[in-house]
Amino acid sequence: MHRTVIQMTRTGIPTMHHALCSLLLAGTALVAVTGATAAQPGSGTALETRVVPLRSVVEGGGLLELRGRSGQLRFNLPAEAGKTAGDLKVRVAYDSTREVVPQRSRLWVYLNGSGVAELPLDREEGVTSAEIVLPAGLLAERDNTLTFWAQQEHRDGCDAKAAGALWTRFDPNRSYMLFDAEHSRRPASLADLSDPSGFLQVDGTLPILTAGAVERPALLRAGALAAEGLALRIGDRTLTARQVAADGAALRGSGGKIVLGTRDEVAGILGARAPAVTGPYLGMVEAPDAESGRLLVVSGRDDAELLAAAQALANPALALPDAPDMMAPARVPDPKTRAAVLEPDRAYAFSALSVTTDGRSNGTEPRTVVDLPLPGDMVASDNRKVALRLNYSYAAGLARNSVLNVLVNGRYVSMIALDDPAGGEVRGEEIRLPLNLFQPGTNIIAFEPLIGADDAVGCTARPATAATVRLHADSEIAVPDLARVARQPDLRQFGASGYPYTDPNFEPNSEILASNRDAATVGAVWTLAARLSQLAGRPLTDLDIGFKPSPRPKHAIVVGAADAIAPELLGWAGSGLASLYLGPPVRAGLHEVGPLLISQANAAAPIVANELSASNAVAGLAAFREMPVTASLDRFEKAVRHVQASWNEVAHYADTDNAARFGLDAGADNDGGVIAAFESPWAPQHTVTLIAAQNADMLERNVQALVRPAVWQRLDGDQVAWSAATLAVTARSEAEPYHIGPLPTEPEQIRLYVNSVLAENPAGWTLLSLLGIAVLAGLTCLGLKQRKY
Amino acid sequence: LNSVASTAAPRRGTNPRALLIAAAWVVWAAALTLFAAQDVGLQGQYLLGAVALAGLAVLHIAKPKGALRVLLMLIVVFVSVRYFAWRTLYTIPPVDSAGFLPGLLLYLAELQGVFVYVLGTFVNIMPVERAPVALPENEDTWPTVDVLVPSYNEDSDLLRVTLTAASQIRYAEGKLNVYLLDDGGTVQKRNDSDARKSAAAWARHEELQVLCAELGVGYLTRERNEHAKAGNINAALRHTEGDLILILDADHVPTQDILERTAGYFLKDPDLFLVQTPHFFINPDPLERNLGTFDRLPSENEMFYSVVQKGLDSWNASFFCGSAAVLRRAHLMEVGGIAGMTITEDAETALELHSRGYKSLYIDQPMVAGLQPDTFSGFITQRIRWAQGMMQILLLKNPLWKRGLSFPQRLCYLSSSSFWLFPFARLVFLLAPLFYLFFGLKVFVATMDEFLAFAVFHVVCSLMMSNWLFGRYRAPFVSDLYELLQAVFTFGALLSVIRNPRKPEFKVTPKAEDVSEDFISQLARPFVAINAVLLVATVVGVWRWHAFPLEREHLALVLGWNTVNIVLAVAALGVTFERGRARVFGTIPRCRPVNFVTAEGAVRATLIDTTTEEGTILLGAAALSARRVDYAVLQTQVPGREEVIALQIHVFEHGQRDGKQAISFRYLPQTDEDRADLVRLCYGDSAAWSAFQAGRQRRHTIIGTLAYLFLLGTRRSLAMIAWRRRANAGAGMSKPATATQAAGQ
Repeated sequence: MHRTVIQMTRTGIPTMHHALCSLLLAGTALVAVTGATAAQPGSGTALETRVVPLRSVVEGGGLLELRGRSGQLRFNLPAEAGKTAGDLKVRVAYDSTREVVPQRSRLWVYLNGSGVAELPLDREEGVTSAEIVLPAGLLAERDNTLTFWAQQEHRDGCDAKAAGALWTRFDPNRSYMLFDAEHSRRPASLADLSDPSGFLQVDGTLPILTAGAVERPALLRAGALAAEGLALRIGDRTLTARQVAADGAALRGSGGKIVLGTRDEVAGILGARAPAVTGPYLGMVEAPDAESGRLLVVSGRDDAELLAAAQALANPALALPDAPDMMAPARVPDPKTRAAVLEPDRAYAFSALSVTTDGRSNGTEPRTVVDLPLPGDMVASDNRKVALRLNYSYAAGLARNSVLNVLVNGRYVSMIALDDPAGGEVRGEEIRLPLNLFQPGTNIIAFEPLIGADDAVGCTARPATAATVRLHADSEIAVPDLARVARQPDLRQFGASGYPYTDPNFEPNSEILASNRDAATVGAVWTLAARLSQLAGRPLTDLDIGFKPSPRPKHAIVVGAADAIAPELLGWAGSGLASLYLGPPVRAGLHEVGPLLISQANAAAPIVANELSASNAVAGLAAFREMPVTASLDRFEKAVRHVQASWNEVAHYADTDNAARFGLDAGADNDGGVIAAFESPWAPQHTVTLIAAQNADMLERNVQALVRPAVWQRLDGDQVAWSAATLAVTARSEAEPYHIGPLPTEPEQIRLYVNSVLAENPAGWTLLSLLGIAVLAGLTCLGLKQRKY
Repeated sequence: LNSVASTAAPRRGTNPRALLIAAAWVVWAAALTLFAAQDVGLQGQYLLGAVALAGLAVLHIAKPKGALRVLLMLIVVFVSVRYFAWRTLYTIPPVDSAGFLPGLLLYLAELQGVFVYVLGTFVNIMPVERAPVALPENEDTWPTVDVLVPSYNEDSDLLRVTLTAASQIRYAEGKLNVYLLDDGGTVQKRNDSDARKSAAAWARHEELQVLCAELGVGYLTRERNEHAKAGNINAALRHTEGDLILILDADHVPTQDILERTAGYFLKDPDLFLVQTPHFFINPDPLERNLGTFDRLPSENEMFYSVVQKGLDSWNASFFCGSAAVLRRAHLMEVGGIAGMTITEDAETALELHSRGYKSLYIDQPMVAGLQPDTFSGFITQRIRWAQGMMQILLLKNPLWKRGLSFPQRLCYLSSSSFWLFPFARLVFLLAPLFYLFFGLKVFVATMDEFLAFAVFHVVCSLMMSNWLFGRYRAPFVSDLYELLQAVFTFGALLSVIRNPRKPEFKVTPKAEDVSEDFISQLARPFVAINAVLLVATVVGVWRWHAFPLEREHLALVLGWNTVNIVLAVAALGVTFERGRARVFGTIPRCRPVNFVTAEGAVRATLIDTTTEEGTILLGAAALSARRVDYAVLQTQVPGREEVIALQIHVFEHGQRDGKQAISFRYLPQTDEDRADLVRLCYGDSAAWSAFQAGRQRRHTIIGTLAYLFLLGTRRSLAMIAWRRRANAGAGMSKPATATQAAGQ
């Protein structure tokens, strides 16, 4: 294990230097990558200094926090082997609970599974700042992962309650990585887009340049398809598309951009560098200067060809040639969906599923993750089980409290004891996972080996030197029969799979409507389309995208600023939505309603974070701001300052659990978004999903926040409000349920559906049972009367 | 009278309304069971469990009657039905796993338990209390009655008491005939090729003839000993002609009012074929005697006679128990007399008559005093016969398919016969924890949440329900102890019946055995082994606790289960250490005022226990200074005599009891009338039996009884070890012949 800590300082005492550094935290841009660019002699490349805030690459978009006895944080590094000059550096500032036992607590750092640093956890010593060197030799060509794993022990013991009180947090503003990325000078190639990570900005932002405003539905749709194309090529990472009216300045700036328009429009944007477009065209164009990212041109002679080009780009099955440009072929192979939906009432071997080794648990143990794509219209509220039949082996000599934990969608469900001193080769161990833990769409079953502790090290697990637990590919998972009823509204289902808009059965009958033609609204639509395509695992070619509703009834996603949405629609969104506003209930026009959202300081806003103590929040925040930056100012400092200055998300994380701990003031910002799903007032059994914010700018920011996992994965009920500033989320259910599509007619499907409905209404089921028993009691009494003689 | 002797077909016929109700009940119950089997998550189950517990609280506190009682009981049962549906569908280990077979065995054992529990609840859902039906004043209208006392090998002293008491039954002059049916002196036995046996049979034949002549009762015997007790009675039926037949086992001494309380029902309902009364025992069974619970806990059979038979009666399914029952000759002869296909001829006969539409009823008033087996081996002999006989009924005359029975009757007979499958379940419950403790096999697949929602509610509800239904008549875990004691021996016997249902033969239960000294039953060995295995399993469990800390959650459950098994096994071992006693016949508890008359005068005293041979009185405080005497006269009143009787006694012991002077004595009857008075004194009054039973009938706590049984069992087991050491050091183990009789059966 590499254990290199370049520099590490602990202090709790603010200094002038620290105060200066804290001033750097203010800013407005989401994230920036900048720095001096210098040519490498004889290499044909230039160096670009990149500063990447860790919070922008944290997996799942969640908190920078390690909880429990073996908390873990994983970061997807935007760095690749051979494309960096020298080692990478990670600077972190972190703090731990006072209850942690320093002698038995450590923070381990791994790059692609190899240990690179071991840091102390000692709250008594104050906030710890450290700089860690990540050897470039450990980088892989792609999918590089940085993992922090905290082994923490509570002074009160090893029980679950004590473990739950353990935490170590990173200061999101003071934790970042720096490296020099090689800026390739070789000719641009479409093949580079097969992994567009390098093309996109670090935080996944994709500017799409158009000639002026997006007025035509075709252009709107083409932009969405282009965004989908790149989103589908970056896996699960978040892509946020922004519509930019092209001018000279727009072409500059780091990160790649898409230039979208007909041949004439592109020529207007690119001028002399405009390619010759003779049909549906995809091509890479060099940026106007070396510091700017490359330009992907999506074009055609007319709107039809433009759409054809965008559609081709959207298809991840399209082989992008190692050439600067191409004409989109007339026929494009069918897109390969990420994973076929599993058929209920069948068993699948792990080898037939998407099984990956996804990071590490317990420091060094590989974590096995199984993707389980379930039907988007599944209804499963009962207690039936998904059965795992596991074949696995584990090494001898593990501590007796070693286990293989099984998690479903991040929630612990069961465990297998790895407690045979002689190790084991186990076949057919059955574990039954409650079906109600699964959601429509993709589910993740994770197997986390946790190697136990022995008496010598208390309750802190002992890291193993090699993998000791191995799940075999012939393990099976059996999915029980499922009720298939499309019940709406259900934002959880929407968040899990984009249902119903991404369902092949409903997609041709669905549309996304932009309420306005301004750049912010258009960007929001494109971002949303990109997210939905990722959920579907394919481009949404049958999904209509436009500015006006289709003449025939469709399932619709309406995206818009509040002042651009019909008041009637807002009214139909439900009285619950009205309560999210600060004014009177929505009845007439929105202008009578007042500000759209939630986090005004004087409002009893439903966002839970607002209920937290503001004084604690401010105090905690101040503590972080005053932390020292101890790393020496070197040639990266300029870039660091720029990033910190441009980052406005000071209070980035806040929810019920952590706001108090982090001391965040969720009410500091007054912007927010709302999403509400309800039955279409003009087309029964059709769903309208309304996504709105107070104005267009807020809408764009909030949709960008919405598609981040931290918010998106918490969609639930039929109305959700969130804050882009704090990522606080409030969900509620108010609308009357309804179904879309046919109700089941087969007896078994009816039975499963009724059971699920009853499972969701336990009081109703109990009453029904009592009624049935009462009838039986009556018949029994009648029978007894017959016996009297 | 005509109606009593009537042979007309029963009036039941087909009652369309009853059929409709039964059909609706079956359909609805099936639908409800299907509904219960649906998986609707755990929240509803928690809610249902809470409702059921509330219902049980209402049952315990408010003791509702009628429809509310039925409703609440069904709610509680529904919890168990839900449990078992879940158990069936989701908790059995996978077929290809090592835990499958033991898991399946445990499941089947639970199936038997739940089946009996649910059927038992049905049976007892509304027990019936029979109002007395008096005989008409005009004795001419009374039916004639034959009292039949079948005997095989009982001692003449015992028979004398029974026949004397039978002769004392109050009934119309000339309408009561008592017969001794002697199967020990048949022609076949008298002509046995074994001269010794032949001589014994002749001696018995002649002795009993003299006895019968002396008592004025008829003596009947037959050519051959065919079909055991049933054949004996049937042979007698051909030589008697009473309208009604009162059948008494040889040791079942009737009270004088037995016919006054039973015969009237036959006049009221011509379809009635049976009036059954409880069997009351005046001596402790081996468990009661060896553990010393006779005066503290209700007798084992009280649950059956105080609750279950009344429940069966509510469904017209109260069945003949072989004795203490009055039957109508006409109906009995319609099925050819007492049935003999199975060795439980009594239940089989009732089944046949019920299937023909005739009716039975049950009077919960003990009116016979009988004897229980004195030794554990005798007890096992009796229970093996019952188990095999009920299994024969299940196999040969399955009540589910028996033509003519009503639906509730089918369920009632099914409940009575399937109960006897308990040996399988009991042994599995004994072994199930061992699968996990010794081999780590998981025999029950469930999460802790599910276990809490389904299993815990089921166990708690069924325990509380049983305690509510039977708590006064059966202390918690006493049933489990009786079942364990029997299961070890009856399991093999049941398998034998399953292999060959017609094989079992009637074996007479040995009674009034002479056990004068302590000894270890030869049947003790299995319980020694069981205790050893369970204790080793506990040690293994403790080791697992330390070796596998992750298993502690499950291990705690399994060890708890194993601990209950140990308590039962220790108590069972204690039962097999037979306690010696001086008196052969049961001591009859009494609280009767007497005059203790000596040469110095009369002293008031209380007769506290008695047999027809010996008794004990407590003298009042004033008599403390009374001089010791050897001979005296006891004056008292007895049922059936208006005048005060005087019995000469010989005092053989003076002592102290409860601060009073206790005098034990032997009766010195001078005349036949004295002997008859002694029988009247001991057995004449049925109220005495009821009072004695009531004194023992109180509820006991679950934990308290468990601890009590463990304490008694441990004490008795330690006494056994000490006795064994002494025996090894001395002359060796005493093994009375009676202790070995059942070993091979």
